[in-house]
Amino acid sequence: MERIALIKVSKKYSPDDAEYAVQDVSLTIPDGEFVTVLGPSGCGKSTILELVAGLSEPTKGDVCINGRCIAGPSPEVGVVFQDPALFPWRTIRSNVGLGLELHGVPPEARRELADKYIRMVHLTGWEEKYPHELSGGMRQRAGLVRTLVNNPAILLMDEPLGAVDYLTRLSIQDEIIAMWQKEKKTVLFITHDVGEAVYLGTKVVLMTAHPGRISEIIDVDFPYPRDRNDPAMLELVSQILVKINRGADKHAPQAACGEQQ
Amino acid sequence: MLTARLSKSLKVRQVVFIIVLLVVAQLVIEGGKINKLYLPAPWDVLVEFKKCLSENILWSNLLVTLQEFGLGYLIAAVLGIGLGVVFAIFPAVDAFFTPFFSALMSIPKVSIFPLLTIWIGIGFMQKVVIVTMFTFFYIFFNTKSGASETHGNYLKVAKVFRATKRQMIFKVMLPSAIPSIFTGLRVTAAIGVTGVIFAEMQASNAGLGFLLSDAAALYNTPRVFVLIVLVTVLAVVLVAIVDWFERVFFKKHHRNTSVKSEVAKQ
Ligand SMILES: Nc1ncnc2c1ncn2[C@@H]1O[C@H](COP(=O)(O)OP(=O)(O)OP(=O)(O)O)[C@@H](O)[C@H]1O
Ligand SMILES: [Mg+2]
Repeated sequence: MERIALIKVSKKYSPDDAEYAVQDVSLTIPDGEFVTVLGPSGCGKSTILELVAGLSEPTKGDVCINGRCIAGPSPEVGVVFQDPALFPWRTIRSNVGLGLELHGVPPEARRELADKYIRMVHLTGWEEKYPHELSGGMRQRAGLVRTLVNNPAILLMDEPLGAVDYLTRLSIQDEIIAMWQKEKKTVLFITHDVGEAVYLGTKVVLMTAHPGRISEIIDVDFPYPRDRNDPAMLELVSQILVKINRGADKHAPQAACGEQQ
Repeated sequence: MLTARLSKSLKVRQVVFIIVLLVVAQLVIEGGKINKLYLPAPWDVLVEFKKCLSENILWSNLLVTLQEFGLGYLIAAVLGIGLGVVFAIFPAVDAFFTPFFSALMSIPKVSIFPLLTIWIGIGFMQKVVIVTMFTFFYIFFNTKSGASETHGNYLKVAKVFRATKRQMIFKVMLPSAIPSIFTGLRVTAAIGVTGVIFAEMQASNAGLGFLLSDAAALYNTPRVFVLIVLVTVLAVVLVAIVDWFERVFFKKHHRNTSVKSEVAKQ
């Protein structure tokens, strides 16, 4: 079954914009896939995520979840934002338990679940602190589990580990993989890190900017659990890097291209 | 920045300055250089203060003023915060009514005073209404702007959790508007005192404002000074109470408002 489907989606933030933020994007994500998205800054990755999250509407085309076109946030979708936007007036525990609280989970259960996930991202001991007392990376981890704790069937993540230190990032990547496998989730995961995209994803979507489009979808067939040092995987990473750089060249100034030829 | 020691010695010097000023005033006025009818000697003010205490007029009148202020301020706070939130949630309401509210706010409230006298007389309620009029708009506009400027990303978070409208208001917009609401409450604590004193001075038979105009009518300048000091202290204390309230009950809302995420890019 198709969990997520974008059908010829284009998005302009304002009618006056000369260019679409994303244009003619079609992407279907079957149940249980882990799709990672790579692309230069400003190519529309967050835009796509917000469309799938039901936070904004496409200018053209349709966004469907479980076969139905959406007009707002869906209950089975969890979103991890690029900016964790923790509520500054709540403690970390209470931030992590926000979704549970909004859906009427009693305090005891909330606390227990929140603490379990807080442990998962190595934030034990910080439960009673306020967001401003944490580093950027710590806040991002708290933002990540604020979503994971609700156990959504579909997970949308926008560079969830961008500000997290290297070693913690590796361990959280593995936690995400384990959770994805155990709970049979469908994941859309945006990242800047090619290695991360390949290590995590069953598919890697490459995007180009101006306007934001999907340039290629690459299958990553290595079985899980994967080995970070698998030469075949590292080879794929470098192939993707080459593609990205070629894509970047295509957008180099016209004059320079002309002179070369 | 001043070091602690420097600022302490600064305070000492400021206190000394005030004392010197008072002593000079005492000497100059006692020496007959200035008519005591215009400016009482500091000592006379103190004596008058003692006299007021022994006449037992201060507490009862202070209480009247406080009640008028308290009720008026409470009404303004409830209405201002409530309507402010409603306006923040419903842009259509905001767009339609805000010009009228702005126009009402610009009316010099004192000019309505005679009208109020005609409508509700010169009793307790008139003072209450004046205080409400003096304070409502600041609280309302501060709440409205605070709530409608709720960080877009907080709203997004609440939306993807499919928060109900009610949850959106009480768990997101109100908490994030707290600092702005308290800015309104703080300013209006002082403005409300001005309102109530003014109203009492115009027409009344009780309250500190009444004592003030009464003393002035009798050319009892020392008593006028006693009352000026008293209403000033009252305003300062009320503002301090609002501050205290915010610190104790909304500490976390306050100190964290400047938090910005380091990974925010949008
Ligand atoms: N709320 C908005 N209003 C107007 N334009 C926007 C808005 N959000 C994004 N854009 C524009 O849409 C384009 C795509 O932005 P988007 O945030 O989706 O990029 P991104 O791929 O997520 O970039 P990054 O990797 O830096 O996060 C950009 O040109 C951006 O300026
Ligand atoms: Mg982005």
